[in-house]
Amino acid sequence: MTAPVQLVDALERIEGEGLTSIEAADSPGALEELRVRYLGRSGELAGILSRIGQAPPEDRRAIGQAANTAKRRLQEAHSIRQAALEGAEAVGVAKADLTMPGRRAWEGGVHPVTRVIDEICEIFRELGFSKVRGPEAETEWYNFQALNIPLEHPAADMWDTFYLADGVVLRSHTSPVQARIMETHEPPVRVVVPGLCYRRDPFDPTHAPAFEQIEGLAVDEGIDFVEFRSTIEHFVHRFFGRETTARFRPAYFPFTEPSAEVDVSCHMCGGSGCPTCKGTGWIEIMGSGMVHPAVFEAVGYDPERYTGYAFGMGSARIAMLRYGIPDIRLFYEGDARFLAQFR
Amino acid sequence: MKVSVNWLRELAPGIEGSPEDLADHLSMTAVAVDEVHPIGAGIESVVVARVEEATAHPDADRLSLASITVGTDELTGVVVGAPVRAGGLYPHAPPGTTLPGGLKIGARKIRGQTSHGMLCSERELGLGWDHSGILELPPDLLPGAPLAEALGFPDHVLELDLTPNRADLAGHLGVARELAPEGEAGLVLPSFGPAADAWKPTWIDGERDVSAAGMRVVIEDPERCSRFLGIVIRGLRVGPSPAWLAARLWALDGRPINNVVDATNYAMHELNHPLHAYDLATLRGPEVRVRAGREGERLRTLDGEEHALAEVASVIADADGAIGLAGVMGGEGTEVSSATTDVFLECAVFDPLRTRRTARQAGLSTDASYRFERGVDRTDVEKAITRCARLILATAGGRAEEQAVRVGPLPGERTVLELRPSRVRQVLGRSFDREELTGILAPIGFQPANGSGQADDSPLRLYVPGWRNDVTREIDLVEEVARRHGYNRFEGGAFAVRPSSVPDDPAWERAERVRRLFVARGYLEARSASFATERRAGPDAVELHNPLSAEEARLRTDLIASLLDPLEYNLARGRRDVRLFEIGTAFAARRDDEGPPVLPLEELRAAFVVTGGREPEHWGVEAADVDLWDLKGLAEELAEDLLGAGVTPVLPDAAERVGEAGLGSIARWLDGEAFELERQGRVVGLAGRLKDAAVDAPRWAAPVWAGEFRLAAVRLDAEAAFASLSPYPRVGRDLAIIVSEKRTVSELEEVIRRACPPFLESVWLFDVYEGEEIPEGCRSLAWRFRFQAADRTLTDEEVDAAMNAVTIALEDKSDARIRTS
Repeated sequence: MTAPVQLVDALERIEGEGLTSIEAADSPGALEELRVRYLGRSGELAGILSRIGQAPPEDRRAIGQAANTAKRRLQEAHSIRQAALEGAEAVGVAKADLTMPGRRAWEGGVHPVTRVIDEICEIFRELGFSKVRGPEAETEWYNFQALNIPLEHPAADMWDTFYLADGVVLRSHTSPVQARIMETHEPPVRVVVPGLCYRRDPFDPTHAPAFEQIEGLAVDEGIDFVEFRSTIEHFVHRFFGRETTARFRPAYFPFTEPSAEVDVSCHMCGGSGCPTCKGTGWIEIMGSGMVHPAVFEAVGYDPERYTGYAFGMGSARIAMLRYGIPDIRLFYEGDARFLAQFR
Repeated sequence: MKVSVNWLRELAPGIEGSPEDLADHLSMTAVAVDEVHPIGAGIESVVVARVEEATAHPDADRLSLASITVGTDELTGVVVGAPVRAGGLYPHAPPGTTLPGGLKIGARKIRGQTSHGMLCSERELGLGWDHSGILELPPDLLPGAPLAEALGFPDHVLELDLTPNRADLAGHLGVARELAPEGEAGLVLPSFGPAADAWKPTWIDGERDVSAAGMRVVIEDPERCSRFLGIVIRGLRVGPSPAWLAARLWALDGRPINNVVDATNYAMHELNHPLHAYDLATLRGPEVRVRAGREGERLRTLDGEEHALAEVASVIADADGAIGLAGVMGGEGTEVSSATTDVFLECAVFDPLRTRRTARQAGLSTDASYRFERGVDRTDVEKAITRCARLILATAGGRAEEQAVRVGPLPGERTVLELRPSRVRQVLGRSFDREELTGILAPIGFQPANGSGQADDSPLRLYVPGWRNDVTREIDLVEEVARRHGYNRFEGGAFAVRPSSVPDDPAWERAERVRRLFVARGYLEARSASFATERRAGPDAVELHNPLSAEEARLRTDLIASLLDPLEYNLARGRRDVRLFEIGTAFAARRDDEGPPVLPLEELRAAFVVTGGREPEHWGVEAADVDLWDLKGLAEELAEDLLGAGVTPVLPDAAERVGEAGLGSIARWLDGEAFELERQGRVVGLAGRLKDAAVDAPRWAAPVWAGEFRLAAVRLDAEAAFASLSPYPRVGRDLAIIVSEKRTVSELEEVIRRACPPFLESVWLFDVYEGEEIPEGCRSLAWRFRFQAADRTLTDEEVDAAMNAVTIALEDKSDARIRTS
C-alpha cells in the first residue's frame, strides 16, 4: 500500500522539477522531450495516476485533484514556453547560421552597348523619332553615291570599306538607311537607326572592324539649323546631364551641309582638360548637319520644299565614355566577368 | 597638314592672338586643329658653331674630335659621333644645356678625350625626326649666333585635320585668309628681294604643244592635265638654302635638300601648288609631255622605288620615255643635283581622278598627289610658278628665260553662284541681310559679281574664287555663311516634337522580347563582329574581298559560330558556367545571278550557348549541370512564350527540312540530342547539344548546349490575347500506367487529349519509373490531370467518366495497363 502522502509529495516534486525544466527548455526539441517525460502517455504524471488505485479510497479524490492541478500547470508552462520558443525563432534568435549565403538563380545582363542604344533611342522617341533599321550589306550606291559621296574621290577615303563583291560593300556607316527610308516614305520623316557598321580598322583599344552606330534623320518643312542645334543640345542634356554643354564645329560630310561635329564638355574634368579629353576639355560625340540637297534629289524629295538634319554617333564609343571602359575590345570578347557588371 | 604660325603671321600681319587662340578660331570656324606644338623651344642656349678641324678619335673608330669656334678665335674641343667637315656650321649645345628631349649636356670625358658640350642632330633639337647625323646648318648663319633666334624660332606648328573639301587650306595662304581679320585684303606675300621680284615671264601659249626658251611641252591627253606652265632658269648654283628657308621647312617636319628643291616646296606650302624642277641637261629633246603610261614601261622615282607603269597612270615623259609620275613624284634620272646648272621648272594642273589613279597604282601618296587629288586653283598657276622662279633666282642665282611655256586653255570666266537671302533663312533659321552676307563672304574671296539685284530678297551674285573648287552650289555658300558667323551663335529656338510617317521596325520589339527572356533566365548578352573564319562559317558563307585577316575573311552564317569564341574565351579562363546569348545578323550568299550588284541574304537571329551548373553553386543544393531536360525546357519556353511554336525532336529528315529553311548551318553544330522549334509546320529554330568537336573545351567542362532561332518568328506583344478565367472549382486526378517503352510520351498524351472532354484544363507527366515491379521493356508513367469548366462546377461523375474514358483509350490504343499501388 502506498501512503497517500508519498503520492502527493511525488506529485509536488514532479510539478516542481517539471516547471523548472520546462521553463529552462532552450529548443522545441528539448521541450518536446520534457512534454513526453512529464505529460506523455507513459510519462511521470501518468505513472502517478496509474497508482491512484493503490491509495485509500478516501484519499483518491484529493490525489486526483492534485494530479490534475499539476497536469494543468505543466501544460500551461509548456504552452507558454512553446510560444516563447516559437516567437524566439521568428525573430531570429535561432540556431541556423543566418550569415550563410542564400540560394540564388543565375543573373543575366544586358550588354552595355545595348543599354546605351536603348537610352539614346528612348530620348529621341520622346521627340517623335521612330526606330528603323537597314541591311548591313549594302550596294555602293546606297553607301556612297546616294549620299553624295563620289567614288574615287578623297571624300570616299573617309570610310575604309570592306567589299563583298563588285558594287557590294559592308556598310561603312548607318547613313545608307537615310536614303532607303526616304525612298519609301514621304515627309515628315523622323527616324533613328541603330546598327552595326564595318570599317577596315583592325581591333585596337579604340577601334573595331565592326561597331555600333546610331543614325538619326529628321525631314520636314521648316526644319532649320537652329532647330537642329537645339534638338541635339536637348539630347546632350538628357543623356549626359544638364551640366554638360555641347558645341558645334565645322566639319565635312558629303551628305550634310552645313556639316557639324558635335563635342560635349568632358565629364571627367568638366572642361579643364584631362587624359580622357586629351587635354582639350571636349569630347567628340557625333557627326551631323543639315541634309544636303543632293541627297534629297537622289531620293526624289524636293530640296526647295523640305529641309532636315541628320546625325550619326558611335554607340560603342559613347558606352565607353558612359561606363569608363578603356578598351573597345571588351565589348566584343564576351568575357562573362565584364558582361556581368551590367545587370 | 602642318602650318607654321610664324609663317601665317608673315602672310597676314593682322593676325593676333596666341597660337592656341588661332587653333581655337580655326577649329570653330574652318578646320579642326588636332594639336599645337612648339618648334625651337628649349634650345635657347644652343649656338651656331663652326668646325675648324676634325680629326679621328685616337681610341674609338666611330668617334671623331672636332675643334669648333663660336664667333671668337677660341677653340673648343667636342667629341662627335657622326661625320662633320671642317668649315661646316653645326648646332652646339654647350655644357649646362638641357635639350628638348631632356638630355643634359655637361663637359665629360669620352674615351679619354674631353667633350665640351655636343654637336646635335635634328632630332636632338626637336626640329625633326632625323638622327642619322649631325645637322649641318645653312652657311649664311654666323658662328656664335643663338641658333633658335637665327632660325626665326620659337615658332608653333598647328596640326590641321584637313577635310577633303577644303583643299585650299593645304597652303599657308589659304589658312592665313581664314585667320586674317580683313581676309583676302590683309594678305601680303613677302618679298624675295627687289631683283628677284622684278623678274616677269612672257607667256608663250598653246592648246597642246608649245616650244619656247629651248624647251618643248606637249599635253597629249588634256583629260590628264588641263594646264602646264614651265620656266627655264640657266646658270644657277645649286647649294644649301639660306637659314630662313631651311627653318620654314624644318618647322613643317620637312628636310631642306637644296636651294632649288626647297624653293619648290616653299612655294607649295605657301600657295598650295605642287611644283617640280628638272635638271634641264638630263631632259631628252629637250621636251616633256604628259601622256598615259605604257605597258612595259618602267620608271625609278625620286624615292628610289622602281615602278612598272600602266595605261592608268599619267606620266611625264621626255623624248626617250617616262621621267616622272604626273602629279605624284618626279623621276630619279632628271633630279636636280649639285651638278645642275640649268633647270626646267614645272607647275601644272593635273586631273584629280587621274592623279588619284596614278598614285594608287604606284602605291604612293605624296604632298603633290594629296593636293592634286583635291584640286588646285586653275586660275593662279602663273602666280605660283613665277613666285617659285623668283625664289630660285634669289637663292640660287642664274638667269630665268623671259619666254615661258604655257600649255592648255586659259581659265575662262569666273564661276558665279547665286545666293538667296530667303534660302539662307530657310536653312539656317536666322535672317542675314545683304550687307551681312557680303560682309561674311567677300573677305574669303566670294566677291559680289555684277547683276545682283538691289531688292532685299533678290539673289546675291557672287564670284567663286579659284581656290574654292568645292563650292559649286548655293548650299555651299550657306555653309560658308553659317561657319563664318559661328555655329554656336545660332541660338534660341526650342527643340521640336514632330510627327513621323515612318513606323517602327518590329524587329526592335522582337529583339527586346528575346532579350528580356534570356536576361530573366540568367543569360548575359554578348555582341560580336559578324566575321567568321572559314572553319566556323558555313558552306554558303559570303567572302570578303578585302578582309583584314584570315580570321575575319567571311561573314557568319549563324550566330552560334559567333558565340563559340566567347565560350572558349571564358572556359580558357577557368570559368565553368557560361550562359551567353546574342541577337544579330546571319549572312548567306545569294545563289541567283540576276545581274550585279547582288546583296547577300541577311537574317536577324537570336542564339544562346549554355554550359555548367544548373544553378549557382550553393551549400544547400546538390550540384547538377545543365542537361538535356533543361535545354528542352528552355526550348519549350522559347517556342511557347516567344515564337508561338512547338518543340519536336529532330526527325530523320531534319537536315533536309532545316536546309530548306536556311538554318542548315546551325544543324552542323548539334549532335543527335536536338530539337526543332517549329511554327505552323515551318522550322524556325534549332536547339540541342553542341558537338564535342565544335568547341575547344577543357576536360573539366560540362556539356555545352546551344540554340538559335529566327527573330522574325518572334511574336509581338500585340499578338497576345486574353482568355477568360473560370470562376468554378478545379478538380485534380492522377493516373499511372505501365506501358511499353516504345510508346512515346507525346503519342500517349495525344491519346489522352483525344479521350478527354473539353473541360480538361491541363495534364502533365509527373513521374517516370522503370525497374522493380515493372516488366522488362516497359515503364511506368504517371500524369496529373486538372479539370475545370468555364460555365459550371464539375461533378465527380463527370470527372470520373472523363478519367474512365482516358483509361479505356490508353488500354485500347496503347496497350497500357493501369497501375494500382
